[in-house]
Amino acid sequence: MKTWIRHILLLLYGATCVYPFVWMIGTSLKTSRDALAHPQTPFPAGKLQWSTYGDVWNKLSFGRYFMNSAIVSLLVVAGVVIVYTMMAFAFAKFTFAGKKTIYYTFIALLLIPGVTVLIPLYINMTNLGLNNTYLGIILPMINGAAPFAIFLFTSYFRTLSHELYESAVLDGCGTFKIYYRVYLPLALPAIGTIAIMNFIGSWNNILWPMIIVDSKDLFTLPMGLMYLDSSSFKKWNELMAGALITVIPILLTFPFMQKLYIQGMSAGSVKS
Amino acid sequence: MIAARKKWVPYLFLLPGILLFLFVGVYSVGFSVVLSFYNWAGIDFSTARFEGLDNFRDFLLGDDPVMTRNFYYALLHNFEMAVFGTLFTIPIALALAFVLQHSKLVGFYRTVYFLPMVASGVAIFYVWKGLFEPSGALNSLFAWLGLDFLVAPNGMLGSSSTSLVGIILSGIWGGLPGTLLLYYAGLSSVDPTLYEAAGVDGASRLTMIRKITWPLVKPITLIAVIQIVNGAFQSFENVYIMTGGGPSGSSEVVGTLVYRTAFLNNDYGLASAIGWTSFLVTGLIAIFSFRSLRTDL
Repeated sequence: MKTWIRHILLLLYGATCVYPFVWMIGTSLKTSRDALAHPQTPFPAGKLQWSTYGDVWNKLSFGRYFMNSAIVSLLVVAGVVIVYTMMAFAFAKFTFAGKKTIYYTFIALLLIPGVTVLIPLYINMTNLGLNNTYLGIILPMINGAAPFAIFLFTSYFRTLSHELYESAVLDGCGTFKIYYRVYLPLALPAIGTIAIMNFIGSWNNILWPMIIVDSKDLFTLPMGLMYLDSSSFKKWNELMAGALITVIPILLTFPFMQKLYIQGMSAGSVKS
Repeated sequence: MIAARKKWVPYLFLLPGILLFLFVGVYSVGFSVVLSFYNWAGIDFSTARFEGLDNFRDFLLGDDPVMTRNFYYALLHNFEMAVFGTLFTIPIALALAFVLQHSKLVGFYRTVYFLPMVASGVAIFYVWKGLFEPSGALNSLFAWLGLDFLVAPNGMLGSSSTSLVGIILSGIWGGLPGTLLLYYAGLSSVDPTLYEAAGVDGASRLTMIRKITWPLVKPITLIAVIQIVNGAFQSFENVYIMTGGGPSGSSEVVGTLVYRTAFLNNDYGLASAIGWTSFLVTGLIAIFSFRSLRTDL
Protein backbone atom coordinates (compact mmCIF):
# COMPACT_ATOMS: atom_id res chain seq x y z
CA MET A 1 0.00 0.00 0.00
CA LYS A 2 1.26 3.48 -0.81
CA THR A 3 2.66 5.34 2.17
CA TRP A 4 0.42 8.35 1.69
CA ILE A 5 -2.72 6.23 1.67
CA ARG A 6 -1.63 4.74 4.97
CA HIS A 7 -1.08 8.19 6.38
CA ILE A 8 -4.43 9.47 5.23
CA LEU A 9 -6.15 6.46 6.79
CA LEU A 10 -4.31 6.85 10.08
CA LEU A 11 -4.86 10.60 10.17
CA LEU A 12 -8.56 10.28 9.34
CA TYR A 13 -9.03 7.83 12.17
CA GLY A 14 -6.96 10.08 14.42
CA ALA A 15 -9.26 12.98 13.57
CA THR A 16 -12.36 11.03 14.60
CA CYS A 17 -10.63 10.21 17.88
CA VAL A 18 -9.74 13.82 18.58
CA TYR A 19 -12.76 15.71 17.24
CA PRO A 20 -15.07 15.18 20.22
CA PHE A 21 -12.37 16.58 22.48
CA VAL A 22 -11.83 19.60 20.23
CA TRP A 23 -15.55 20.26 20.27
CA MET A 24 -15.69 19.87 24.05
CA ILE A 25 -12.86 22.34 24.64
CA GLY A 26 -14.07 24.80 21.99
CA THR A 27 -17.65 24.77 23.25
CA SER A 28 -16.58 25.23 26.86
CA LEU A 29 -14.94 28.53 25.82
CA LYS A 30 -18.00 29.90 24.00
CA THR A 31 -20.65 32.24 25.31
CA SER A 32 -23.98 30.52 26.06
CA ARG A 33 -25.55 32.02 22.94
CA ASP A 34 -22.66 31.11 20.68
CA ALA A 35 -22.81 27.56 22.04
CA LEU A 36 -26.35 27.21 20.68
CA ALA A 37 -25.46 28.46 17.18
CA HIS A 38 -26.83 26.49 14.25
CA PRO A 39 -24.84 24.78 12.79
CA GLN A 40 -22.32 24.15 15.53
CA THR A 41 -18.67 24.92 15.06
CA PRO A 42 -15.97 23.57 17.31
CA PHE A 43 -14.40 27.02 17.61
CA PRO A 44 -15.70 30.03 19.56
CA ALA A 45 -16.85 32.92 17.37
CA GLY A 46 -15.64 35.85 19.46
CA LYS A 47 -13.31 36.17 22.40
CA LEU A 48 -12.66 33.09 24.48
CA GLN A 49 -14.81 33.08 27.57
CA TRP A 50 -12.71 31.51 30.30
CA SER A 51 -15.02 32.59 33.10
CA THR A 52 -17.34 29.62 32.50
CA TYR A 53 -14.81 27.35 34.19
CA GLY A 54 -14.82 29.46 37.33
CA ASP A 55 -18.61 29.70 37.28
CA VAL A 56 -19.04 25.96 36.95
CA TRP A 57 -16.38 25.21 39.55
CA ASN A 58 -18.06 27.52 42.07
CA LYS A 59 -21.66 26.78 41.15
CA LEU A 60 -21.20 23.25 42.37
CA SER A 61 -18.48 22.24 44.77
CA PHE A 62 -16.35 20.66 42.08
CA GLY A 63 -13.28 20.80 44.33
CA ARG A 64 -15.06 18.58 46.77
CA TYR A 65 -16.31 16.20 44.02
CA PHE A 66 -12.82 16.04 42.63
CA MET A 67 -11.42 14.89 45.99
CA ASN A 68 -14.21 12.32 46.36
CA SER A 69 -13.54 10.91 42.90
CA ALA A 70 -9.81 10.71 43.61
CA ILE A 71 -10.32 8.98 46.97
CA VAL A 72 -12.81 6.48 45.57
CA SER A 73 -10.77 5.66 42.45
CA LEU A 74 -7.44 5.29 44.23
CA LEU A 75 -8.87 3.08 46.98
CA VAL A 76 -10.69 0.92 44.44
CA VAL A 77 -7.47 0.46 42.46
CA ALA A 78 -5.45 -0.36 45.57
CA GLY A 79 -8.08 -2.82 46.79
CA VAL A 80 -8.44 -4.56 43.44
CA VAL A 81 -4.70 -4.95 42.97
CA ILE A 82 -3.99 -6.28 46.47
CA VAL A 83 -6.97 -8.59 46.87
CA TYR A 84 -6.91 -10.11 43.39
CA THR A 85 -3.16 -10.52 42.90
CA MET A 86 -3.29 -12.56 46.10
CA MET A 87 -6.08 -14.74 44.80
CA ALA A 88 -4.43 -15.09 41.41
CA PHE A 89 -1.16 -16.10 43.05
CA ALA A 90 -2.92 -18.97 44.80
CA PHE A 91 -4.71 -20.01 41.59
CA ALA A 92 -1.53 -19.90 39.54
CA LYS A 93 0.89 -21.52 41.94
CA PHE A 94 -0.90 -24.07 44.09
CA THR A 95 -3.06 -27.12 43.74
CA PHE A 96 -5.77 -27.30 46.36
CA ALA A 97 -9.23 -28.68 46.89
CA GLY A 98 -12.08 -26.66 45.41
CA LYS A 99 -9.78 -24.62 43.21
CA LYS A 100 -11.75 -24.91 39.99
CA THR A 101 -15.06 -24.29 41.70
CA ILE A 102 -13.82 -21.14 43.38
CA TYR A 103 -12.11 -19.85 40.25
CA TYR A 104 -15.09 -20.31 37.96
CA THR A 105 -17.55 -18.96 40.53
CA PHE A 106 -15.63 -15.73 40.51
CA ILE A 107 -15.28 -15.63 36.73
CA ALA A 108 -19.04 -16.21 36.37
CA LEU A 109 -19.74 -13.00 38.28
CA LEU A 110 -18.62 -11.17 35.15
CA LEU A 111 -21.88 -12.08 33.49
CA ILE A 112 -24.33 -10.92 36.10
CA PRO A 113 -25.80 -7.69 34.81
CA GLY A 114 -24.83 -4.96 37.23
CA VAL A 115 -28.31 -3.44 37.39
CA THR A 116 -29.86 -6.72 38.53
CA VAL A 117 -28.17 -6.78 41.90
CA LEU A 118 -28.39 -3.04 42.55
CA ILE A 119 -31.49 -3.18 44.71
CA PRO A 120 -30.40 -6.00 47.03
CA LEU A 121 -26.92 -4.54 47.10
CA TYR A 122 -28.38 -1.23 48.20
CA ILE A 123 -30.43 -2.95 50.92
CA ASN A 124 -27.42 -4.98 52.01
CA MET A 125 -25.11 -1.99 52.26
CA THR A 126 -27.74 0.09 54.03
CA ASN A 127 -28.28 -2.66 56.60
CA LEU A 128 -24.54 -2.63 57.23
CA GLY A 129 -24.77 1.12 57.76
CA LEU A 130 -22.58 1.82 54.77
CA ASN A 131 -24.88 4.08 52.77
CA ASN A 132 -23.44 7.56 52.37
CA THR A 133 -19.91 6.38 53.16
CA TYR A 134 -16.80 5.98 51.04
CA LEU A 135 -16.65 2.32 52.04
CA GLY A 136 -20.16 1.81 50.75
CA ILE A 137 -19.16 3.18 47.35
CA ILE A 138 -15.84 1.36 47.19
CA LEU A 139 -16.44 -2.22 48.38
CA PRO A 140 -18.96 -3.23 45.69
CA MET A 141 -16.75 -1.67 43.03
CA ILE A 142 -13.79 -3.78 44.15
CA ASN A 143 -15.96 -6.90 44.20
CA GLY A 144 -17.29 -6.05 40.76
CA ALA A 145 -13.76 -5.91 39.36
CA ALA A 146 -13.00 -9.45 40.56
CA PRO A 147 -13.66 -11.57 37.46
CA PHE A 148 -11.48 -9.80 34.96
CA ALA A 149 -8.72 -8.97 37.44
CA ILE A 150 -8.51 -12.59 38.64
CA PHE A 151 -8.48 -13.83 35.08
CA LEU A 152 -5.74 -11.47 33.91
CA PHE A 153 -3.52 -11.80 36.99
CA THR A 154 -3.79 -15.60 36.96
CA SER A 155 -2.88 -15.79 33.26
CA TYR A 156 0.00 -13.44 33.86
CA PHE A 157 1.41 -15.33 36.83
CA ARG A 158 1.17 -18.52 34.81
CA THR A 159 3.50 -17.06 32.18
CA LEU A 160 6.25 -16.54 34.77
CA SER A 161 8.70 -19.41 35.01
CA HIS A 162 8.20 -21.78 37.90
CA GLU A 163 11.95 -21.93 38.50
CA LEU A 164 11.63 -18.47 39.98
CA TYR A 165 9.45 -19.90 42.68
CA GLU A 166 11.76 -22.80 43.36
CA SER A 167 14.89 -20.69 43.60
CA ALA A 168 13.10 -18.31 45.97
CA VAL A 169 12.17 -21.27 48.16
CA LEU A 170 15.80 -22.42 48.12
CA ASP A 171 16.79 -18.93 49.22
CA GLY A 172 14.58 -19.48 52.23
CA CYS A 173 11.69 -17.19 51.27
CA GLY A 174 8.32 -17.90 52.85
CA THR A 175 5.26 -18.15 50.61
CA PHE A 176 4.00 -14.69 51.39
CA LYS A 177 7.41 -13.15 50.82
CA ILE A 178 7.65 -14.90 47.45
CA TYR A 179 4.30 -13.36 46.56
CA TYR A 180 5.14 -9.77 47.33
CA ARG A 181 8.89 -9.72 46.73
CA VAL A 182 9.12 -11.87 43.59
CA TYR A 183 5.78 -12.20 41.86
CA LEU A 184 4.19 -8.85 42.56
CA PRO A 185 7.05 -6.76 41.07
CA LEU A 186 7.20 -9.04 38.03
CA ALA A 187 3.49 -8.65 37.40
CA LEU A 188 3.78 -4.89 37.00
CA PRO A 189 2.44 -4.80 33.41
CA ALA A 190 -0.67 -6.75 34.41
CA ILE A 191 -1.06 -4.61 37.52
CA GLY A 192 -0.76 -1.51 35.35
CA THR A 193 -3.48 -2.74 33.01
CA ILE A 194 -5.89 -3.61 35.79
CA ALA A 195 -5.08 -0.41 37.66
CA ILE A 196 -5.80 1.74 34.61
CA MET A 197 -9.00 -0.12 33.75
CA ASN A 198 -10.34 0.19 37.25
CA PHE A 199 -9.24 3.75 37.74
CA ILE A 200 -11.14 4.75 34.61
CA GLY A 201 -14.05 2.48 35.47
CA SER A 202 -14.52 3.79 38.98
CA TRP A 203 -13.87 7.38 37.92
CA ASN A 204 -16.71 7.12 35.43
CA ASN A 205 -19.08 4.95 37.44
CA ILE A 206 -22.31 6.80 38.21
CA LEU A 207 -24.91 4.07 38.56
CA TRP A 208 -23.77 2.74 41.92
CA PRO A 209 -22.78 6.05 43.57
CA MET A 210 -26.09 7.51 42.39
CA ILE A 211 -27.92 4.89 44.42
CA ILE A 212 -25.79 4.51 47.54
CA VAL A 213 -25.08 8.23 48.03
CA ASP A 214 -27.60 10.99 48.49
CA SER A 215 -25.49 13.39 50.48
CA LYS A 216 -23.96 15.94 48.12
CA ASP A 217 -20.79 15.88 50.22
CA LEU A 218 -20.00 12.47 48.75
CA PHE A 219 -20.82 13.23 45.11
CA THR A 220 -18.16 12.20 42.61
CA LEU A 221 -17.26 14.29 39.56
CA PRO A 222 -19.52 12.55 37.05
CA MET A 223 -22.41 12.88 39.50
CA GLY A 224 -21.64 16.56 39.74
CA LEU A 225 -21.73 16.70 35.97
CA MET A 226 -25.14 15.04 35.85
CA TYR A 227 -26.39 17.45 38.48
CA LEU A 228 -25.07 20.31 36.35
CA ASP A 229 -26.94 18.90 33.37
CA SER A 230 -30.22 18.75 35.25
CA SER A 231 -29.81 22.26 36.64
CA SER A 232 -28.82 24.12 33.48
CA PHE A 233 -30.87 23.23 30.45
CA LYS A 234 -28.89 23.10 27.21
CA LYS A 235 -26.12 25.38 28.44
CA TRP A 236 -23.59 23.51 26.37
CA ASN A 237 -20.73 25.78 27.34
CA GLU A 238 -21.24 25.07 31.04
CA LEU A 239 -21.80 21.40 30.49
CA MET A 240 -18.64 21.07 28.41
CA ALA A 241 -16.58 23.00 30.93
CA GLY A 242 -17.80 20.54 33.55
CA ALA A 243 -17.09 17.62 31.23
CA LEU A 244 -13.54 18.82 30.66
CA ILE A 245 -12.95 19.17 34.40
CA THR A 246 -14.20 15.60 34.76
CA VAL A 247 -11.95 14.02 32.11
CA ILE A 248 -8.81 16.07 32.55
CA PRO A 249 -7.26 14.05 35.38
CA ILE A 250 -7.59 10.89 33.31
CA LEU A 251 -6.28 12.57 30.17
CA LEU A 252 -3.24 13.93 31.95
CA THR A 253 -2.34 10.71 33.74
CA PHE A 254 -2.72 8.07 31.16
CA PRO A 255 -1.23 8.73 27.74
CA PHE A 256 2.18 7.80 29.04
CA MET A 257 0.91 4.70 30.78
CA GLN A 258 -0.38 3.22 27.53
CA LYS A 259 2.68 1.03 27.04
CA LEU A 260 2.17 -0.65 30.37
CA TYR A 261 -1.49 -1.13 29.60
CA ILE A 262 -0.85 -2.75 26.25
CA GLN A 263 1.89 -4.98 27.63
CA GLY A 264 -0.32 -6.32 30.37
CA MET A 265 -3.35 -6.80 28.15
CA SER A 266 -1.44 -8.67 25.48
CA ALA A 267 0.34 -10.85 28.01
CA GLY A 268 -3.08 -11.83 29.34
CA SER A 269 -4.64 -12.52 25.98
CA VAL A 270 -1.74 -14.17 24.18
CA LYS A 271 -1.53 -17.36 26.12
CA SER A 272 1.52 -19.47 25.66
CA MET B 1 2.34 -25.77 40.18
CA ILE B 2 2.74 -27.30 43.59
CA ALA B 3 0.77 -28.57 46.53
CA ALA B 4 1.51 -26.22 49.39
CA ARG B 5 3.33 -27.80 52.31
CA LYS B 6 0.84 -26.29 54.68
CA LYS B 7 -2.58 -27.02 53.24
CA TRP B 8 -4.19 -23.80 54.44
CA VAL B 9 -1.70 -21.47 52.76
CA PRO B 10 -3.51 -21.16 49.39
CA TYR B 11 -6.79 -20.47 51.18
CA LEU B 12 -5.15 -17.69 53.13
CA PHE B 13 -4.36 -15.97 49.84
CA LEU B 14 -7.97 -16.38 48.73
CA LEU B 15 -9.43 -15.16 52.01
CA PRO B 16 -9.72 -11.39 51.41
CA GLY B 17 -11.41 -11.86 48.05
CA ILE B 18 -13.78 -14.49 49.35
CA LEU B 19 -14.66 -12.46 52.43
CA LEU B 20 -15.44 -9.45 50.27
CA PHE B 21 -17.56 -11.64 48.02
CA LEU B 22 -19.50 -13.07 50.97
CA PHE B 23 -19.86 -9.62 52.49
CA VAL B 24 -20.96 -7.78 49.35
CA GLY B 25 -21.82 -10.27 46.64
CA VAL B 26 -23.56 -13.37 47.95
CA TYR B 27 -26.34 -11.67 49.85
CA SER B 28 -27.14 -9.36 46.97
CA VAL B 29 -27.14 -12.08 44.36
CA GLY B 30 -29.21 -14.41 46.53
CA PHE B 31 -31.73 -11.78 47.57
CA SER B 32 -32.22 -10.57 44.02
CA VAL B 33 -33.07 -14.12 42.93
CA VAL B 34 -35.62 -14.35 45.75
CA LEU B 35 -37.04 -10.94 44.88
CA SER B 36 -37.79 -11.99 41.34
CA PHE B 37 -40.61 -14.20 42.70
CA TYR B 38 -42.15 -11.43 44.79
CA ASN B 39 -44.20 -8.34 44.28
CA TRP B 40 -42.54 -5.63 46.29
CA ALA B 41 -42.66 -1.85 46.16
CA GLY B 42 -39.61 -1.37 48.34
CA ILE B 43 -38.70 -0.20 51.86
CA ASP B 44 -40.33 -2.79 54.15
CA PHE B 45 -39.96 -6.39 53.00
CA SER B 46 -42.90 -7.55 55.17
CA THR B 47 -45.14 -5.84 52.61
CA ALA B 48 -43.80 -8.13 49.87
CA ARG B 49 -46.18 -10.69 48.35
CA PHE B 50 -45.01 -14.04 46.99
CA GLU B 51 -46.22 -14.40 43.44
CA GLY B 52 -44.39 -17.40 42.05
CA LEU B 53 -43.68 -16.98 38.38
CA ASP B 54 -46.08 -14.07 37.83
CA ASN B 55 -43.29 -11.58 37.27
CA PHE B 56 -41.77 -13.76 34.58
CA ARG B 57 -45.14 -14.31 32.94
CA ASP B 58 -45.70 -10.57 32.88
CA PHE B 59 -42.82 -9.69 30.61
CA LEU B 60 -42.04 -13.01 28.92
CA LEU B 61 -45.47 -14.36 27.99
CA GLY B 62 -47.46 -11.19 27.52
CA ASP B 63 -49.52 -11.10 30.74
CA ASP B 64 -48.52 -7.46 30.73
CA PRO B 65 -48.41 -6.66 27.00
CA VAL B 66 -46.60 -3.34 27.39
CA MET B 67 -43.91 -4.84 29.59
CA THR B 68 -43.51 -7.81 27.27
CA ARG B 69 -43.08 -5.54 24.29
CA ASN B 70 -40.60 -3.35 26.15
CA PHE B 71 -38.57 -6.33 27.30
CA TYR B 72 -38.20 -7.99 23.92
CA TYR B 73 -37.34 -4.69 22.26
CA ALA B 74 -34.77 -3.90 24.95
CA LEU B 75 -33.18 -7.32 24.55
CA LEU B 76 -33.17 -6.91 20.78
CA HIS B 77 -31.39 -3.57 21.17
CA ASN B 78 -28.74 -5.20 23.36
CA PHE B 79 -28.22 -7.83 20.67
CA GLU B 80 -27.99 -5.20 17.97
CA MET B 81 -25.37 -3.33 19.97
CA ALA B 82 -23.36 -6.52 20.42
CA VAL B 83 -23.62 -7.62 16.80
CA PHE B 84 -22.96 -4.27 15.13
CA GLY B 85 -20.32 -3.38 17.68
CA THR B 86 -18.44 -6.58 16.87
CA LEU B 87 -18.99 -6.41 13.10
CA PHE B 88 -17.58 -2.90 12.84
CA THR B 89 -14.97 -2.88 15.57
CA ILE B 90 -13.08 -6.09 14.79
CA PRO B 91 -12.34 -5.65 11.05
CA ILE B 92 -11.63 -1.92 11.30
CA ALA B 93 -9.36 -2.40 14.30
CA LEU B 94 -7.48 -5.24 12.65
CA ALA B 95 -7.08 -3.33 9.38
CA LEU B 96 -5.86 -0.20 11.14
CA ALA B 97 -3.45 -2.26 13.24
CA PHE B 98 -1.93 -3.63 10.04
CA VAL B 99 -1.63 -0.15 8.57
CA LEU B 100 -0.21 1.23 11.81
CA GLN B 101 2.37 -1.52 12.02
CA HIS B 102 4.87 -0.05 9.56
CA SER B 103 4.19 3.60 10.20
CA LYS B 104 7.02 5.81 11.38
CA LEU B 105 4.77 7.87 13.64
CA VAL B 106 3.51 4.94 15.72
CA GLY B 107 4.14 6.71 19.02
CA PHE B 108 2.13 9.75 18.00
CA TYR B 109 -0.78 7.79 16.58
CA ARG B 110 -0.89 5.49 19.56
CA THR B 111 -1.23 8.40 21.95
CA VAL B 112 -4.00 9.93 19.84
CA TYR B 113 -5.85 6.62 19.56
CA PHE B 114 -5.57 6.13 23.28
CA LEU B 115 -7.71 9.20 23.97
CA PRO B 116 -11.20 7.77 23.38
CA MET B 117 -10.32 4.70 25.37
CA VAL B 118 -9.34 6.46 28.55
CA ALA B 119 -11.91 9.21 28.39
CA SER B 120 -14.98 7.25 27.37
CA GLY B 121 -17.46 7.79 30.15
CA VAL B 122 -20.09 10.13 31.44
CA ALA B 123 -18.32 13.29 30.25
CA ILE B 124 -17.90 11.94 26.72
CA PHE B 125 -21.52 10.77 26.57
CA TYR B 126 -22.50 14.40 27.03
CA VAL B 127 -20.12 15.40 24.23
CA TRP B 128 -21.77 12.86 21.92
CA LYS B 129 -25.16 14.14 22.92
CA GLY B 130 -24.00 17.55 21.71
CA LEU B 131 -22.50 16.22 18.49
CA PHE B 132 -25.76 14.40 17.69
CA GLU B 133 -27.85 17.57 18.15
CA PRO B 134 -29.82 18.73 15.08
CA SER B 135 -27.23 21.49 14.70
CA GLY B 136 -24.41 19.09 15.51
CA ALA B 137 -21.28 17.92 13.80
CA LEU B 138 -22.74 14.74 12.33
CA ASN B 139 -25.54 16.50 10.51
CA SER B 140 -23.09 19.14 9.29
CA LEU B 141 -20.71 16.46 8.04
CA PHE B 142 -23.42 14.60 6.14
CA ALA B 143 -24.73 17.83 4.62
CA TRP B 144 -21.19 18.82 3.57
CA LEU B 145 -20.64 15.42 1.96
CA GLY B 146 -23.91 15.87 0.08
CA LEU B 147 -25.44 12.87 1.84
CA ASP B 148 -28.65 14.73 2.63
CA PHE B 149 -30.64 11.55 3.21
CA LEU B 150 -28.46 10.88 6.27
CA VAL B 151 -29.16 14.25 7.86
CA ALA B 152 -31.48 13.72 10.83
CA PRO B 153 -33.68 16.80 11.25
CA ASN B 154 -34.31 16.06 14.93
CA GLY B 155 -30.77 14.96 15.55
CA MET B 156 -29.75 11.34 15.41
CA LEU B 157 -30.68 10.68 19.03
CA GLY B 158 -33.93 12.58 18.73
CA SER B 159 -35.72 10.32 16.29
CA SER B 160 -36.83 6.80 17.04
CA SER B 161 -35.49 5.33 13.80
CA THR B 162 -31.90 6.43 14.44
CA SER B 163 -31.41 6.79 18.19
CA LEU B 164 -29.93 3.31 18.58
CA VAL B 165 -27.59 3.96 15.65
CA GLY B 166 -26.24 6.95 17.54
CA ILE B 167 -25.67 4.89 20.68
CA ILE B 168 -23.92 2.16 18.69
CA LEU B 169 -21.71 4.67 16.84
CA SER B 170 -20.52 6.29 20.05
CA GLY B 171 -19.92 2.80 21.48
CA ILE B 172 -17.74 1.86 18.54
CA TRP B 173 -15.82 5.12 18.92
CA GLY B 174 -15.05 4.27 22.55
CA GLY B 175 -14.33 0.59 22.01
CA LEU B 176 -12.30 0.58 18.81
CA PRO B 177 -9.04 1.99 20.19
CA GLY B 178 -8.63 -0.70 22.84
CA THR B 179 -9.06 -3.46 20.27
CA LEU B 180 -6.82 -1.70 17.76
CA LEU B 181 -4.00 -1.28 20.26
CA LEU B 182 -4.28 -4.92 21.34
CA TYR B 183 -4.06 -6.09 17.74
CA TYR B 184 -1.15 -3.77 17.15
CA ALA B 185 0.72 -5.16 20.15
CA GLY B 186 -0.01 -8.70 18.99
CA LEU B 187 1.10 -8.11 15.43
CA SER B 188 4.31 -6.37 16.39
CA SER B 189 5.24 -9.16 18.79
CA VAL B 190 5.89 -11.45 15.81
CA ASP B 191 9.56 -11.82 15.05
CA PRO B 192 9.89 -10.51 11.44
CA THR B 193 12.52 -13.16 10.66
CA LEU B 194 9.73 -15.68 11.04
CA TYR B 195 8.08 -14.35 7.87
CA GLU B 196 11.42 -14.23 6.09
CA ALA B 197 12.20 -17.81 7.01
CA ALA B 198 8.74 -18.86 5.85
CA GLY B 199 9.34 -16.98 2.60
CA VAL B 200 12.63 -18.79 2.05
CA ASP B 201 10.87 -22.08 2.62
CA GLY B 202 8.48 -21.11 -0.16
CA ALA B 203 5.41 -20.45 1.96
CA SER B 204 2.74 -18.41 0.18
CA ARG B 205 1.44 -15.15 1.64
CA LEU B 206 -1.80 -16.89 2.56
CA THR B 207 0.01 -19.68 4.37
CA MET B 208 2.00 -17.14 6.35
CA ILE B 209 -1.17 -15.38 7.44
CA ARG B 210 -2.80 -18.67 8.33
CA LYS B 211 0.14 -20.19 10.15
CA ILE B 212 1.86 -17.19 11.70
CA THR B 213 -0.54 -14.26 11.96
CA TRP B 214 -3.85 -15.98 12.69
CA PRO B 215 -2.75 -18.05 15.72
CA LEU B 216 -1.65 -14.78 17.25
CA VAL B 217 -4.67 -12.73 16.29
CA LYS B 218 -7.22 -15.35 17.32
CA PRO B 219 -6.91 -15.10 21.12
CA ILE B 220 -6.91 -11.31 20.89
CA THR B 221 -10.06 -11.41 18.78
CA LEU B 222 -11.74 -13.63 21.37
CA ILE B 223 -10.91 -11.27 24.21
CA ALA B 224 -12.07 -8.30 22.15
CA VAL B 225 -15.37 -9.94 21.18
CA ILE B 226 -16.06 -10.92 24.77
CA GLN B 227 -15.41 -7.38 25.91
CA ILE B 228 -17.65 -5.90 23.22
CA VAL B 229 -20.49 -8.36 23.77
CA ASN B 230 -20.29 -8.09 27.52
CA GLY B 231 -20.16 -4.31 27.27
CA ALA B 232 -23.22 -4.32 25.02
CA PHE B 233 -25.26 -6.41 27.43
CA GLN B 234 -24.13 -4.43 30.47
CA SER B 235 -24.69 -1.05 28.87
CA PHE B 236 -26.55 1.46 30.94
CA GLU B 237 -24.74 4.74 31.45
CA ASN B 238 -24.33 5.61 27.76
CA VAL B 239 -28.03 5.05 27.05
CA TYR B 240 -29.15 6.64 30.30
CA ILE B 241 -27.31 9.88 29.56
CA MET B 242 -27.63 10.15 25.80
CA THR B 243 -31.28 9.17 25.26
CA GLY B 244 -32.71 7.85 28.52
CA GLY B 245 -33.92 4.92 26.40
CA GLY B 246 -36.08 7.10 24.16
CA PRO B 247 -37.57 8.48 22.08
CA SER B 248 -40.51 6.16 22.79
CA GLY B 249 -38.34 3.23 23.84
CA SER B 250 -36.38 3.12 20.59
CA SER B 251 -33.03 2.88 22.37
CA GLU B 252 -34.18 1.14 25.54
CA VAL B 253 -31.83 -1.61 26.71
CA VAL B 254 -32.31 -4.16 29.47
CA GLY B 255 -30.20 -2.04 31.81
CA THR B 256 -32.35 1.07 31.51
CA LEU B 257 -35.54 -1.01 31.58
CA VAL B 258 -34.52 -2.65 34.86
CA TYR B 259 -33.51 0.71 36.29
CA ARG B 260 -36.80 2.32 35.33
CA THR B 261 -38.88 -0.60 36.57
CA ALA B 262 -37.11 -0.65 39.91
CA PHE B 263 -36.34 2.94 40.74
CA LEU B 264 -39.06 4.87 38.94
CA ASN B 265 -41.97 2.40 39.02
CA ASN B 266 -40.88 0.83 42.34
CA ASP B 267 -41.57 -2.67 41.05
CA TYR B 268 -38.48 -4.35 42.48
CA GLY B 269 -39.65 -7.92 41.96
CA LEU B 270 -40.36 -7.44 38.29
CA ALA B 271 -37.06 -5.60 37.83
CA SER B 272 -35.13 -8.48 39.41
CA ALA B 273 -36.96 -11.01 37.27
CA ILE B 274 -36.07 -9.08 34.11
CA GLY B 275 -32.45 -8.82 35.20
CA TRP B 276 -32.12 -12.53 35.85
CA THR B 277 -33.80 -13.46 32.60
CA SER B 278 -31.29 -11.37 30.73
CA PHE B 279 -28.60 -13.15 32.73
CA LEU B 280 -29.88 -16.48 31.42
CA VAL B 281 -29.75 -15.10 27.90
CA THR B 282 -26.20 -13.89 28.34
CA GLY B 283 -25.49 -17.32 29.81
CA LEU B 284 -25.46 -18.67 26.27
CA ILE B 285 -22.76 -16.19 25.45
CA ALA B 286 -21.16 -17.06 28.76
CA ILE B 287 -20.58 -20.65 27.76
CA PHE B 288 -18.76 -19.35 24.75
CA SER B 289 -16.75 -16.86 26.81
CA PHE B 290 -15.83 -19.47 29.38
CA ARG B 291 -14.16 -21.61 26.80
CA SER B 292 -11.87 -18.81 25.80
CA LEU B 293 -11.30 -17.57 29.34
CA ARG B 294 -10.30 -21.06 30.37
CA THR B 295 -6.99 -20.95 32.12
CA ASP B 296 -4.80 -23.94 32.89
CA LEU B 297 -5.43 -24.52 36.53
